[in-house]
Amino acid sequence: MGSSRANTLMVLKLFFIFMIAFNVFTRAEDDINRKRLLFEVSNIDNDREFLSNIKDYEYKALLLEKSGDIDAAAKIYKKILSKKYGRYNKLILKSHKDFSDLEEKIPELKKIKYYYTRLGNLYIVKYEQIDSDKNSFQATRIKKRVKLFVKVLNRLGAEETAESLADRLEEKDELIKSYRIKSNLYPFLSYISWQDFIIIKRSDGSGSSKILNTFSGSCSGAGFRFKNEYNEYHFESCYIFAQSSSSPFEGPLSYTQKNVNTQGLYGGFGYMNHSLLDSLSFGGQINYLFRSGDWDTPTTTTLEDTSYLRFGASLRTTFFLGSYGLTMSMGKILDNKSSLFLISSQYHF
Amino acid sequence: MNDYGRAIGATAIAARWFHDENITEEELGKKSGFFGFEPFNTWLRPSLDYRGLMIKRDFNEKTEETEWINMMADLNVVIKFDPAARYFTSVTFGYAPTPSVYEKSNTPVDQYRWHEAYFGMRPFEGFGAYLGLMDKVYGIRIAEHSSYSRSVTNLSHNDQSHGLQLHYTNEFVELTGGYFLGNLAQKERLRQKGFSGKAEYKVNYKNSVGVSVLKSNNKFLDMYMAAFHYKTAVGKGSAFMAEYGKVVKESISEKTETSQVYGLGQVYLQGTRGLFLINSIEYLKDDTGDFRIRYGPGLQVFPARSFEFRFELYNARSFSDTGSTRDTWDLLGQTHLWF
Repeated sequence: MGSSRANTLMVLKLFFIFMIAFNVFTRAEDDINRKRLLFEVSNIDNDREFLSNIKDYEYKALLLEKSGDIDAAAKIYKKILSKKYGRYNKLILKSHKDFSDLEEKIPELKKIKYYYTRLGNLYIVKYEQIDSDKNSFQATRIKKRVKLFVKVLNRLGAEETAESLADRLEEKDELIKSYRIKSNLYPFLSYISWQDFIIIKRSDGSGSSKILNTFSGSCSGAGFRFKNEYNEYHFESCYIFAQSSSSPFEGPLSYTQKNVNTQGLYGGFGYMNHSLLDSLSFGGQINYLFRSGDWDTPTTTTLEDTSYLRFGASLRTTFFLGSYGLTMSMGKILDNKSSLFLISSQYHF
Repeated sequence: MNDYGRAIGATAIAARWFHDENITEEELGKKSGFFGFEPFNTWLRPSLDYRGLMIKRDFNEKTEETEWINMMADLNVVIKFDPAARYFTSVTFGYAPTPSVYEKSNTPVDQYRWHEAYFGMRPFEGFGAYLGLMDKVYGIRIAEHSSYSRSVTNLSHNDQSHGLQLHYTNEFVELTGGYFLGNLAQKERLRQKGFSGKAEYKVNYKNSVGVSVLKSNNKFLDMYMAAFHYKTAVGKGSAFMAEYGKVVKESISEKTETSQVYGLGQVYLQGTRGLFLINSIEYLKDDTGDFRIRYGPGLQVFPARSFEFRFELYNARSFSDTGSTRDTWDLLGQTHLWF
């Protein structure tokens, strides 16, 4: 019984080792074949028997396509076109003529169409593989090539293939465009409101009170944003003209003043997400608020916090109608009472 | 809500979180009838509707109070007199809580009432006529009945009136107008009688602008109001709406006039199917120049057909020449069930 179990285990172990070894050897062999193919293609210009080996090269190109060696496969097709069909190829590339009706008279056109179809498919894959968020010189070069293949395929009467390539090109272009970062300046005009405290103290130090201020006013300024289709980063700042009403909040001293003129600066750095909709975004902002108010100081008292610089954060939603934006924002400035809210209309250049 | 509205609610608004992947949208649409059944027949459509509200007043303050209010529990029955529903009647009867202004008074308030009882006809495409007890037409009818645009205009969830309304729509305009006699369940001297109308111009497929007017009076009060509004659909399932209006109320016995100006801006952003972000800002100004601003970010969740949960935080601020007052913060959690 024990011996039978040991045998079974041995067989399983051997099978396992065999499988790993087989896999390693197969992969190694594939790799050697691929390297050999790539070497042969790199020496294609030195092959004096090229024209008689075209069938063989076609097969190699298909193998290279399969292994993802796009450039090597394309090199073979281009070589065939220039070596075997050079005269027609030059004519097709240079002229704007429609060759689709000439296929019966010139049988070579059928083969040329095949090679351009292969080239078109290879270059579109190459274009699709380019990182969409990198606007490279290489991308422009490949795109030019695909456009040329679309034109040639149309001239050769392969409209369906040409259309499919053009559609894929457009799709990729849209994707690249969506990652492209644009920047713009935006002036804005806002309504702003917040609450905070000033402290009134008797000069002899015998008592103090917190005075609650409610501010309401305008904040006009400008911002700058960097945006692609999904994300936006911005910084903005505006100048505040506001008025405040002040009333006692807690403490023994009474103090009331209305229409206190206040000036200041408000702004910050923010992130907005556009991935749900381009015309409606949501996000947040890290804010600063500097304000200075003209409160009257009663005799025998002193006022504190009549000007300050504080920081906070806010949540915001922006709705866009063309170049116009309407932002609703609500946040908190640290050490201030309650919220700060802002409704802002912007124009985006 | 008609069959189409129920199907849209089940297949485009509510999430699929609790449904098997194999259930198709078509099946979900079909099962959006009374208690999730397919309609039993072509002529009868019953439904039940409940709204409950948990409100935390003075949220996060020492004076915080929590209250649960059963805001609405209605039974609605629609009877269609022909297969195309050109002629139909809709009746809604249910519970409504005693308004807070009457809670401490001795005035008896009936908590069970008719909210709708009207006959409707749509004999031609684009034209409709409605006779009976129904909501008056005016401005944007948003769900928050406590919003300034619904409370200062006296167009809240218990302010239906008997009357006649005519409705016409084509690809460019939507016109609605009517004459009303007040709610006949009320005493004659309390009934607000008058007319209201709304004209909406469809700028394009997604944008529309409109104006509304309403004039009414009873033995004690004359009311005039007018408003502009703008609505736009943004993408799929998102919208922005704004309304700005003025309400003038004249006390006949005291010969005094008060006016209020109100504004509303609301953004609905569909995060994903079944989940919406809401951002509202409201404005209310009275004759003295004092005004209030109420700001409310919120979240609306439709986890499945027939269920809606809504969470909103309202920050209200008063602006007055006489002094500065503490903001109020309210947290609202609303449950809406309909079957």
